[in-house]
Amino acid sequence: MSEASAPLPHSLPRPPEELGRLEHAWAFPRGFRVVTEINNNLIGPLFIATALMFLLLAGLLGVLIRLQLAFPGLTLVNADTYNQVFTTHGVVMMFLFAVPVVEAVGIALLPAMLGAREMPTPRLGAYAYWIYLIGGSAFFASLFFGAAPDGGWFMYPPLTGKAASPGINTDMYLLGIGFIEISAIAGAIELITGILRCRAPGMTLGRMPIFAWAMLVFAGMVIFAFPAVIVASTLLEMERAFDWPFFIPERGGDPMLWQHLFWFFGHPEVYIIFLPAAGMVSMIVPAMARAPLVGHSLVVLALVGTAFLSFGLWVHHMYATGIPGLSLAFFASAGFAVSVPSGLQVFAWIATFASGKRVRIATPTLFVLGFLFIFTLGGLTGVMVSVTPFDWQAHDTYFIVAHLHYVLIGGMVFPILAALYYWAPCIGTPLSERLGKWVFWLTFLGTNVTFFPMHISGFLGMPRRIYTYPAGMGLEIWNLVSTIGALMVLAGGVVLFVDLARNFRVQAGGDNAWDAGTMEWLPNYNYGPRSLPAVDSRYPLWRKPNLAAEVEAGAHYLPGTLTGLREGLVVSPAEGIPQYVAVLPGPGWAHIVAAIGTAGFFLVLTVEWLVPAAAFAALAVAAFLYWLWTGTDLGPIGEGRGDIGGGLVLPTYVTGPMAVSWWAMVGLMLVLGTCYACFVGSYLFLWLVNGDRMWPPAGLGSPLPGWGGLAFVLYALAAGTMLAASGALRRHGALPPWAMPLALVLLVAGYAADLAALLGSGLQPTQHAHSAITYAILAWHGAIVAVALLMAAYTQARSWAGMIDGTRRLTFDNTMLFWLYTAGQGAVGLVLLHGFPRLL
Amino acid sequence: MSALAASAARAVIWPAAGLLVWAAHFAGIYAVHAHACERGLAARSLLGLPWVATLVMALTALALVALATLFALARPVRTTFGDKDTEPDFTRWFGAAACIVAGFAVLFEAVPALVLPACWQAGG
Repeated sequence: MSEASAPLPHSLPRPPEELGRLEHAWAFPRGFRVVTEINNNLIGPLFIATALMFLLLAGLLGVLIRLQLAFPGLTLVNADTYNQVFTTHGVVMMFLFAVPVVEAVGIALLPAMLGAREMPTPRLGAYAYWIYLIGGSAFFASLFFGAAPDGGWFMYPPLTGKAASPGINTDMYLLGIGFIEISAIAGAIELITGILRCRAPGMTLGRMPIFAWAMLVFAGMVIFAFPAVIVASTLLEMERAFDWPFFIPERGGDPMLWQHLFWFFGHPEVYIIFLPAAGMVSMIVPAMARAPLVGHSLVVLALVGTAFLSFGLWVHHMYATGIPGLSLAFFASAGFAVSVPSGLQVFAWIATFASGKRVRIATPTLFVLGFLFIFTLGGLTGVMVSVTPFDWQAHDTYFIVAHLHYVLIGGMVFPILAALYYWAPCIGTPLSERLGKWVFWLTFLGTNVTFFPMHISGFLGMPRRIYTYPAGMGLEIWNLVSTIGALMVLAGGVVLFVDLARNFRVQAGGDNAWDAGTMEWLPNYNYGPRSLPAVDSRYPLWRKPNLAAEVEAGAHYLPGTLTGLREGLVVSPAEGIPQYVAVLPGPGWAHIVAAIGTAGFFLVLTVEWLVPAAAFAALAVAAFLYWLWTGTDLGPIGEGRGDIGGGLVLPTYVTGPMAVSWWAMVGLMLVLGTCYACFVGSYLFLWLVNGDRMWPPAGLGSPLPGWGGLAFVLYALAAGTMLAASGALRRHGALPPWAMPLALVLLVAGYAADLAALLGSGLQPTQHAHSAITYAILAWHGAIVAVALLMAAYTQARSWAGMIDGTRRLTFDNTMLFWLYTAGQGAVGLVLLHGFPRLL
Repeated sequence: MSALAASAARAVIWPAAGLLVWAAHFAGIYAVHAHACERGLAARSLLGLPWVATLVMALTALALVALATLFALARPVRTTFGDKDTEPDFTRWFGAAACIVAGFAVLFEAVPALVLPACWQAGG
C-alpha cells in the first residue's frame, strides 16, 4: 500500500525557533486557569468524561428501575418517584449521554483525523461543553428535590399539560433540556464548519475518513431535527405558562401536534445516535482487519441515505393514534427502505473482516462483534414493529422496551466502548486489555440477559412505565432474570470505570497502537500535528509509511505560526485546496461566564424567578459580546499573508463566504429557518385539523392587512438599507454613519407594524389555537428581531471604534447575512398570517 | 460561479439533491393523503381516477423525472463505482448514486397508494 513520496512542501531541517513559537502560541494556561482553555485536546476528553459520568448516573437509575421490578409488589420507590426515575433515566441517556458523547468524540478526534490543528470555532465548542456540564448537572440534581420530569422522555400532552401536571417537573424538562439542545446545536455547527473547511490539503470529500462523514451527517441531522423539539417545547411551555391552547382540543388545539413535532425529532434522533457510532465502527474494523473498508463510497452513500430516510419515519411511533392506513403504509415503506442502507453497512463490515489477512481479536474487536450481534437483533425487531399490525399489538409493551434497548445499547453503547478501547492510546495511555475483556463479557451477556426476556414479558402483556405488577400473570421469572442481567451490566460498568481510573491518562504524542491508516494516529500535541500533512489517499499512513516522520519533522504545510497566534488552515469544501490561514482564539473566561448565564437563565425560569432570570440573561449577553469583541474579527495581522509551504502564499484574514464564521452563520440560519418551518408546519397542521371555516373560527378576526402591508414594506426597506450600507462600505472603505441607525429604525418599525396588525384585530392568544399559533409565530419572530437589533448595535459600536473598514468587514458581513434572514422571515410570516386565512 | 461557490455546490448540493427530491416527494404524498382524509376527499375522482392515487402517482412521476434529470447532470464522465476519490469524480458519482437510491425509495413508498384505499382506518 505504500509508494514513493512526492516533493515535500518544506525542506528539512526546520529552523530551531519555529517549534518554540508554535508551542508558545498553543500553550495551555497553568494551574487553575487551565479551565479557561478551549483547545479540543482538553475540551474533547473533558466532554467524553462528563458524558461517561452521565452514562453512569443514568445507568444507576436503570438498575434502580430493575430492582424495583425484580419481584411483584415491591415498594423500593413509590409510583411518583418511579415516574421521575424512569423519565430521568431516558432523558439523561438520550440528551445528556448519547448525543453529547458522540459530539465529544468528534471534538476530541476530528481535528487530528482530518489533519487539522483545531476546530474552526473552538470557543463555541468549549461553550457547548460548559453549558452541558452546568445545565446537565443541575438537571440531574432536580431528581433529589422531587422536581425531575415525570411524563416519560417524550412528555406527551395532555398528561404534561398544566391541568394534569401542575408542578414544575414538566417545566424542568421543557426549559432544562431545552438549553441542552442549544449545546448540541452549537456543537453541530462547529462540526459542520470544521469538517467541510478544516482538513488537510488534498483531503477531498472522497478521501475523508468515514467517521468524519458520519459526524457531518450527524451534525446535519442535529440542525434539521433538534429545531422540531425546540419548537414543541416552546409551544408546550407557552401553553403551560400563558394558557395558549396549542394542545387543548376544546379550543382548537390538538395533542397530536406534539407527537408530530416530537417524533420528527425523536426518530431521526435514533440515527443521530447510531450513525456516528457506525462511523466509529467503520474506522475500527479496517484497523483490526488490517484492510481498507470494503465499499467505502457505498458506506458514505448509506450514511447520507439513512439520514434522509430517517426523516420519513416519525409516524412509526404513532401507529396507534388513528392515522389513516395509507399514511401508515407510506411510513412503513420508508421503514423498510431505511433498513437497506443500514444493512449495507453491516455487510461492508463483515466483508472487511473477511478480506483481512489476519484479524486482530482485541477488546475493540470484541465490542464491534458484540455490536453486530445486538444491533442486528434490535434491527430485526425494528422491522417487526414497523409492520403496522404487529405494532398495534406490541405498542407500549415491554417488547418495545426490549427493542429500543437492543438498538440503542447495541447500536451506540457498544461502539462507544469499542471506541474508548480503540482510541485511548490516541489521546492518552491505553486501557487494560484484560479488564477490557471483562467489561465486554459482562456487558454483552448482561445486556442480553436483561433485555431478551423483556420481549417475552412484553408478549405476555406487561405495559411500559408501570412501577410494579401483580403476581400470578407469568411475569415474575422474566422480570427477575432481567434484574439479574442489569446487575451484570452494572458490574461491567464498574470494571470499566476502574480501568479508566487506573490506566487512562491524557497525554500528547501517542503511538500508532493498532497500525491504523488514518491520521489521528500521527503524533498529536496541543497544536495538533507538527505540520499539516498533504493527503492523497483514504489511508495516508498505509500509503506513506514515512508520513508520521515527515509531519513530525515539520516537512509538510504550516509547520510554525505565521502570526504568532493560534492558527488553522482552511480549505475548499470539496477538493481540500488550501484557501487561507485562520487565526484562532485562545483561552478566556467569556464562554464560561456565558454558559453560566445561559444555564442560569433557563433553570431559574423553571421556578419562575423572573428577576434573577433576567439577570442571568444579561450576564450571558454581556459575556457573548465581550467574547465577540475581544476574540473575533481581528483583521489582517502583520503582512496579512504568509507562506505555508510548497509555494503557497495564503491570506490570514478573509471575509464573506470564504470565512469559516460565515459558514457558521449559515448553519445558524439553517437552524432558525428549520425552527420557523416547524412553526409554519404547526400553523398548517392546526388549520388542517380545525377545518377551513374554523380558521379563524366565527367571531375571531384576522390580522389587519393595512398594517401588514406596511410591515412588509418596512422589512424590505430594512434589508435594502443593509445592502446599500454594504455597497458603501465596499466603495468608500467605511460604514456610512446613517446606515445602521436607519436599518435599526426600519426593522423596529416593521416589527411594530407587524404586531399592530395583530393587536388591532382584537385577537387574543388564549382564545383559540388559531390566535395562539399566530401570536406564537410573531413572538418567535420578535426574538429573532431582537437578536438582529443587538447584532446591528454591536456592529455600529465596532464601526465607531474603528474596527470596521473596507478590508476588515467580517462582523458587518455576518450581521448583514443575519439581517437579511430576519427580514425575509418577517416577510414569509406576513404572507402566511395575512394571506393564508384569506385564501381559504 | 466562483471557485468557492462551485466547491461548496459540489460538497453540499450534489450529494443531497437526489435525496431532497425524495424528501419533497414523501412530504407531498403524505400531505395529499392527510388533506384528503381531513377534508373528506377520499371518494373524489380526478380525470375519472381516484383523487388520492392520481395525485400520488403524478407526484411520483414528477419526482422520477427530476431524479432522472439530476442523474443525467451528475453522471460521471467515466464509468466509476465510487472508487475515485478525486474531485469532481467522487461527488458526481455520489450525486448520481443518490438519485438511484432516491428513485427506488420514491417508487417503494408510492406503491401502497395503488393497492390500499385512501383514508382507510383500522376498525373503520
